Amino acid sequence: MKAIDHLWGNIFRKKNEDSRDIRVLLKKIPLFADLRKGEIKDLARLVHHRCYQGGEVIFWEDEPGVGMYIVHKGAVGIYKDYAKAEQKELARLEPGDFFGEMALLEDDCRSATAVAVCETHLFGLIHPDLFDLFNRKPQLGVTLLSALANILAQRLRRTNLDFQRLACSCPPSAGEKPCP
Amino acid sequence: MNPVNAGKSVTVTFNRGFIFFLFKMALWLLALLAGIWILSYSRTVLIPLILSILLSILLNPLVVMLERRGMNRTAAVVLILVALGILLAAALAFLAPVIAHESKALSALIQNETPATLVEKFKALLHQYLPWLSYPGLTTQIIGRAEKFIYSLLNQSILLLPRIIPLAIALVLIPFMTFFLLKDGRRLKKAFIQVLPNRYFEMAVSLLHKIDCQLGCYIRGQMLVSLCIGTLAAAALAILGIPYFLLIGAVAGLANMIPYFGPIVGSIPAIILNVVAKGSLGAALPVIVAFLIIRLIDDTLVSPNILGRSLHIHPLLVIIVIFTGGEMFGIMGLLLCIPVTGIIKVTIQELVWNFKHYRVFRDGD
Repeated sequence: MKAIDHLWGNIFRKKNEDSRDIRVLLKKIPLFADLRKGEIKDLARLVHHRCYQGGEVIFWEDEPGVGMYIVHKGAVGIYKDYAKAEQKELARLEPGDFFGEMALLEDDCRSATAVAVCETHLFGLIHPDLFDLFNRKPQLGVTLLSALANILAQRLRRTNLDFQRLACSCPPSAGEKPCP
Repeated sequence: MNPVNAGKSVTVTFNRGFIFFLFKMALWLLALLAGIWILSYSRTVLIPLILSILLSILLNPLVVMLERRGMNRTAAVVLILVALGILLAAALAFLAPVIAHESKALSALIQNETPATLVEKFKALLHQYLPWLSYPGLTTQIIGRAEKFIYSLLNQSILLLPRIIPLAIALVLIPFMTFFLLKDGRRLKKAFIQVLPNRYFEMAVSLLHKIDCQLGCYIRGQMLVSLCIGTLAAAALAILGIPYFLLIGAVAGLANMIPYFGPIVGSIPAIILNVVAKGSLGAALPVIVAFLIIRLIDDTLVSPNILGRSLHIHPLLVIIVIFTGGEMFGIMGLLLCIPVTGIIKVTIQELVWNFKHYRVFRDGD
């Protein structure tokens, strides 16, 4: 029904209710903070609105990743070894949070499983659509990819610190210098 | 039976999700076949639709190029279609006198040489150059078949006349359909993805993208190769002083869309016309040599550089598809069956890849 509405909406009506919500949400996300109004509008056109029931899997660990998601309403749990005895929850994401952004950069498989905790509305941004947009608007591509690189660099720095802290909490092995 | 396993019961378990998936795939396939069957009864729409899809795939990179320069997509589509229309009109205006002259000369030849006289001329030529054909049984058989072939060719060309009206409709439909496919293609794709269940969402997105990429490369490559071959054929025939070189070059270029058969089909009109015009079987030789050289250039230079490692279709499949397409849709079927097979092949390839990599197919989660 939504598709039919979308098709006819294309002829008789230019904007649907979603598009304003999407633009407002996209502007709040640090990844898209540097984008101009027109660029946000272009990006909003690519967004897929998906609705998941509680307990429904969004994507599975080890499956090929095709894009990132932004939580609009509801909550998402990120799990390692989901539905197995050794299942571990890595993170719980709230509205405004985003996940799966690594799939925008690499063709590798998903590193964890994402599951909707309750009824959840997500906005999906897909790698091929996004790179098609970058091909048409290279300036937007540069801005967005540098923002993504910035976020990943911050995460790497944080991981280094965590690793350093973890290394210090362990006793040094034979021949290794203790932490300063 | 292996004596070790004798007396033990073997239980075979079927994955419920997999059976459900197979059932759904069978339903989809049935729906697709029903769609094709219904559309095959309205060729007036089906063929322009396929041509519009091919044209939109061909023109999309140009639209993207204009968008990169800051132009709005609708404006870019309009500009490209108008430019294409002007280009075609200019080409027609430029080539019309040449084509009219060639057509007039060709019709004069057909009027002077009725099918019966053409057959007689061939008979005389065959007897003159190949006297061993004078053995009664063999000659009657060969000439009988040639006669039938020429008559069927002429009958086919007469039968083409009532198809001019659908052609006029197609000329109106194609630009209209191409405009909307180029302008709203992404929205249509998005609308299609929107109705899919969540579990197939990521897989469908990946599938559609890969089909889009592979098919786009294949179709654009094939069309570019055909353009090269048509130009080369026209140039070679012009150098050899063969009449109607532009028409034959265009036929050779179009025929090149059909793998394996295309180059042969393209060379036949040139050979026949040159032999009839010059009244000697030896006139066939330079045309054959020219087409062999073109084939060599195509195999070593044109196709490897343009098509590269794009979609490969097995020769056996090509033969089956060409005969089926020709029987169902005539000349257009012959030309379009290979790109359509390309679409089906890429879809199956990607479905198999997804089957191996996505859990929904394995577990029926």
